[in-house]
Amino acid sequence: MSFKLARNVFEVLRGSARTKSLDQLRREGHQHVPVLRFSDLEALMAAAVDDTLTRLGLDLADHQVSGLNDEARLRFLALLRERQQLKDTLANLQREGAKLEGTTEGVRAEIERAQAELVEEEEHAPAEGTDVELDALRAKLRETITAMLAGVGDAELPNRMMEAVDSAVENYRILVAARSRREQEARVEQLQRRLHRLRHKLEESEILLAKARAAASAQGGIIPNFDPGAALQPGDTDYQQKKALLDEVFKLNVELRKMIAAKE
Amino acid sequence: MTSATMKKDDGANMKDGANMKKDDTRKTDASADAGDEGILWIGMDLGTSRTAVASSNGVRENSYSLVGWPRDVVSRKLLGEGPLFGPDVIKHRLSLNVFRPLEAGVIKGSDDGKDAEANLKAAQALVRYAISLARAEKDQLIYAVIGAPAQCSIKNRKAIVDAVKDEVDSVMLASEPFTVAYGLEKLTDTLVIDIGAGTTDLCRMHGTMPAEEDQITNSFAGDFIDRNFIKLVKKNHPELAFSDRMATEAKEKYADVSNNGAKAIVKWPVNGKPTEVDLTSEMREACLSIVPPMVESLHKLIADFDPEFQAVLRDNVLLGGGGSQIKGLGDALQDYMEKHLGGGKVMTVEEPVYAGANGALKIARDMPKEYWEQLT
Repeated sequence: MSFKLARNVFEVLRGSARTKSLDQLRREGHQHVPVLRFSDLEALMAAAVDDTLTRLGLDLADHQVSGLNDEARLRFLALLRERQQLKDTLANLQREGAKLEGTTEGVRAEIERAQAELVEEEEHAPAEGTDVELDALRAKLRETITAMLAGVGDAELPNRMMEAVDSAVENYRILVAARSRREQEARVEQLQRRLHRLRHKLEESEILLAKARAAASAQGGIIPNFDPGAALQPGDTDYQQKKALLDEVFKLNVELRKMIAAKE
Repeated sequence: MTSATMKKDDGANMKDGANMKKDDTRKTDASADAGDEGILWIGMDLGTSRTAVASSNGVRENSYSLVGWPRDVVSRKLLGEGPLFGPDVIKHRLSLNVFRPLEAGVIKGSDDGKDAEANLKAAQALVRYAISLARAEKDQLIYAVIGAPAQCSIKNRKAIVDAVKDEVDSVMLASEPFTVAYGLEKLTDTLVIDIGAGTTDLCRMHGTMPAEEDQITNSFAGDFIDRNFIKLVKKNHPELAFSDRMATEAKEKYADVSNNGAKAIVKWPVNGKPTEVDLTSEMREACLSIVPPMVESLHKLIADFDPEFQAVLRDNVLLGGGGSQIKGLGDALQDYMEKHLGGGKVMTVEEPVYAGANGALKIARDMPKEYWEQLT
């Protein structure tokens, strides 16, 4: 069990180590490289346990020491695994952050495009027939009508017909202008709705991005999960001092309750 | 001269709640304690700007101390009945009646009665929300320690207890700087400065429970910096259009008093057009404005302490609270102490947002269970 555990620790360490060729190391100017052998690691962990036992002044039987060695290795393994998980979490967060950054940039560019379109649309007046074209059309119509009605006795008839044509052209012009205005307004409204939606999306992306950044920066990418530890226990080095302080806090709160009760 | 930032392995006396190692062997002993089952201990720092919660199940959360209710039928349809909290309040603030129920670390109006009822209702909602963040099991008893400003009145304390009592099974209050010191195990010869939004609390720790004369509370804190910053920007850049919120956000992002610190460049509207403006000098001046009154208060606490221990106290100043996140503040304070008090050493807590809540949780965990039961 003991050997297997130590081997596990060694394998995990080796798995998370960087691999470099001797040529690479030489190119980087390294002449001596520390080598951690399995036996070294095993000895180090055993020495750490021995050292702790000596400092605490504990004299334990061999099988108890061996048990502690196993415990130390198990804890070390757990720590290594935890560290790897945290590294993975950080990498994930960084990936998510990069993705979000991309999305946010995309949305910003889209907003810029939509804004430019909106400005262009608002500045662009609906097309209407120019006066010159209209005058040319009227002149041509007058000519045609006069030629068609040349044999008719009523001299006023061409003028009356021209008036009717003018009125029809004007109505048509108004109709066309109103239609293009409506179409333009609809386009502007649609663009404004798109812009609103894009801005909302940008706001959401920015909030998510800020959260991802905050999470990545907090404790080197580790989302804090606070371990409050255990409560004060008799035997703790500072037990007496803390107990006296806690008694005081309690007494002050009891007095506060009494004062509150008296006021009520 | 540089102030030290507390690191996780800074010696045995730094084995605070925040820094407790995951492999702490005591954890096994604790989980074996059958009496702990069914109880969730919560430490809460009910701050003017932020509320932080740390609980014995490992959860730590914080949120803006803001509560909002939909303003009208339309916003109710969109946002529900409410209340809304934290970032949601900021996002929908135009559709909400927004409450910041805490002022100078206590429930607004609890002393003079003005809007007291509305603020108490908002504070209760905020506490409910903060406790929900701790994710207690349905059948767990909740025992909470809440940090209160060092010198808040009985009325204020009563208001906090009233806000919390329906949500927890037992509650105790403790002075905020004391919770920070307890959490970091700095119980002897230490001067704790807790810079919040509404107040700065200073507390002299000398191994026993700090008495009234060991604590000073003043209002030279985050809100004071905001007001100064706004005043300076309005004076130097009258063309800029900005809200108080924008100023606070800029402070949270750029507050820096270190030499050669990052520039505070904001993009605020001038005549409706977003324009880049450099507000570094205004930011620096506003942030530094809390240093002289802070050193004055430190001086008072040091001067009437046992002369033999004054130097030790001066060399053990612990800077915490949200305001300690101002970059370079520890060094600036240390330099000012050098000039006016003849020296001093300042350490900055590693987790300003949670230092108070961590300490409150540690007190809650360490408090004998029979004490909790007596206060239910």
